[in-house]
Amino acid sequence: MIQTIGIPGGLMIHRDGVLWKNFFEQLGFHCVTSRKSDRQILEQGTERAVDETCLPFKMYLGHVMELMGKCDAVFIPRMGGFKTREKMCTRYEALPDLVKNIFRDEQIPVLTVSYDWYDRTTEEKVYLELGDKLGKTKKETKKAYIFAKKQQEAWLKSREKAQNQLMEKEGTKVVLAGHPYVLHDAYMGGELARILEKMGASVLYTDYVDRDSALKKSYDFSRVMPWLINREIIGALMALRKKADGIVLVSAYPCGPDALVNDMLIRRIKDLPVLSLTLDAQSGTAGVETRIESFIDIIKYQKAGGYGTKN
Amino acid sequence: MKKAYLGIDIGSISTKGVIINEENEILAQCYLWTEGNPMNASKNVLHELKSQFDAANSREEYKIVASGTTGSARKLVGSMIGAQVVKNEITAHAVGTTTLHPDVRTILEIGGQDSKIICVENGVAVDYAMNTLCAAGTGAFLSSQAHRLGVEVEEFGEIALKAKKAAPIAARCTVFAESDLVHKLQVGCPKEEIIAGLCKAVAGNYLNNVAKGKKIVAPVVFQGGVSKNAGVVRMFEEELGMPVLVDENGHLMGAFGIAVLAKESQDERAFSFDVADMEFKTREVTCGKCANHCEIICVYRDGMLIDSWGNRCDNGAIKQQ
Repeated sequence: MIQTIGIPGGLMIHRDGVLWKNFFEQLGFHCVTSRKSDRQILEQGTERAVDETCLPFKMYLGHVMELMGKCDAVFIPRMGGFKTREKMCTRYEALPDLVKNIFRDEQIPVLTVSYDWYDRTTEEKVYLELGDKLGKTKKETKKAYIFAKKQQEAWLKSREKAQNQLMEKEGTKVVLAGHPYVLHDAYMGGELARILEKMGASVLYTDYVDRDSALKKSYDFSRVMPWLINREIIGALMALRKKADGIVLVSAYPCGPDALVNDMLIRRIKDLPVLSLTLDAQSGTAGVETRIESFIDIIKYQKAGGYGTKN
Repeated sequence: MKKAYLGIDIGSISTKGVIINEENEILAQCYLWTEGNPMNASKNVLHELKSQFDAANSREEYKIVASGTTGSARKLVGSMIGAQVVKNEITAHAVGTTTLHPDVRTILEIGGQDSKIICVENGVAVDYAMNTLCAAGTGAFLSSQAHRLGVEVEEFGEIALKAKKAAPIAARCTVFAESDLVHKLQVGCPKEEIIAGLCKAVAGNYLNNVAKGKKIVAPVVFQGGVSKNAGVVRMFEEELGMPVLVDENGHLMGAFGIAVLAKESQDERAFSFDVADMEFKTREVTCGKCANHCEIICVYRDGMLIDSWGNRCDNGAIKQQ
């Protein structure tokens, strides 16, 4: 019997975590989350992953390992996407299978739900299925889903509101553009925000923007691009760029969709300085700091109108 | 007494130093190999600058009132000499180059382990890019290939210019380039064509990777150690279809720029060459206060801790003695 559900603190928890947690808790389950990402979590995840997979996935495996023995099942959804042009990357299409296989000796109990763009399903239907799996009635489940969805929306709204206020403030503002699980991971993007803020810049995030309107806007940029999260990033960028002094594109190595989309962005954004950063497992931040410092210098000296001023 | 300013640029391969006066004229200059020891290299640079300064009797005329450091070991050497300005090499190069060439629009730079492009508008940098994960197509790449060919890397440019054509070589990755190179040698391709091919590959790699998506506008200034290679310069001119200017002091531009920034900081404090004879040590400690295990660098002068960095959070902050 499942009583405690473990939610690994990596990947889509940074986007949908509030929804998941509230949904399960509303149905009477207890949720545990692994601690914030750190070097040890990355190292243990890396040890179990195949070399070629991306840094966030390696981190995710480390988080799964943190939950071993602390819950009755680990929640690992298989998300394919809901529409042809709003898919998830292949990593997500295989996520529960990858985890089950990698930890086959440990026999980790996995709670999952599966959907694909060709299923013509909706988010609500997917959650109803999940409730059914957990032995809950349709009515209970629907109520829990509606409640959780509201919580999630309120959470995003509050972040969006705070960010909108920040945007109206004076001073240097830099957009961090990337997948939420890279931007908000304490060991990956969290470092970047810290460095930027230390240099006196305010940080705006592409995921603190209304998702539906961002998604809609992204079709002006590309009609055919097939990835949901990259669409959300692009749409948000289009909205945020008006108020920003610079854009930092953050990608974790090696990300296929980012490799393609960020290249398109660099070529098409001509009115703002763009810095493209690729994070890998290197522990030193010296290279990243140099790049960010140079970038902030460019913005500040541009504003000052030359190098003659004291800085 | 007139004022003078010191700038040191400590790169992975070479360390550069200059002393300038208030008119931005170079009074003393030095360029030597870092040889993996930035502290020693900086001390040697200081010794050399001092003897040039003494030889010209400049010490009676000038007083060094501010100093700056740039390059990958800027922090370390900055705390060693007590520099007022410690800044990244992009800004230092942009400042140095725009001071000497106020009309420059594009700065190409290929150094020992990194390469960058800086786009300039109205005398201020507007955009830049740096090589990412690997050092293919930088000075280190050319040095290793020179070694394989049994040629001094300094002779590369001259040899390349003699070649009738450039052998096609892939410089995207050092591993591929090496196998290309070996293959070309096996099929009897003349050495100068291979060297010309390497120069072309470096220029091509740079334009396709580092300068990707950036608009290259004339006037173009090319600097960094690789700019001393006339073969690469010619390949750039051919690829870009515009003249590429190499300043005779191009290799000193970072040091020059940081000296200019030290001057502009207006933060003045007498500088003494005595630091060149003090004993400096660094120690790397692994912080055990959380699971991040940050590597913290501690710098000691004559046994006393003067600086530390590398901690991701305040838990790892080391108290100064």
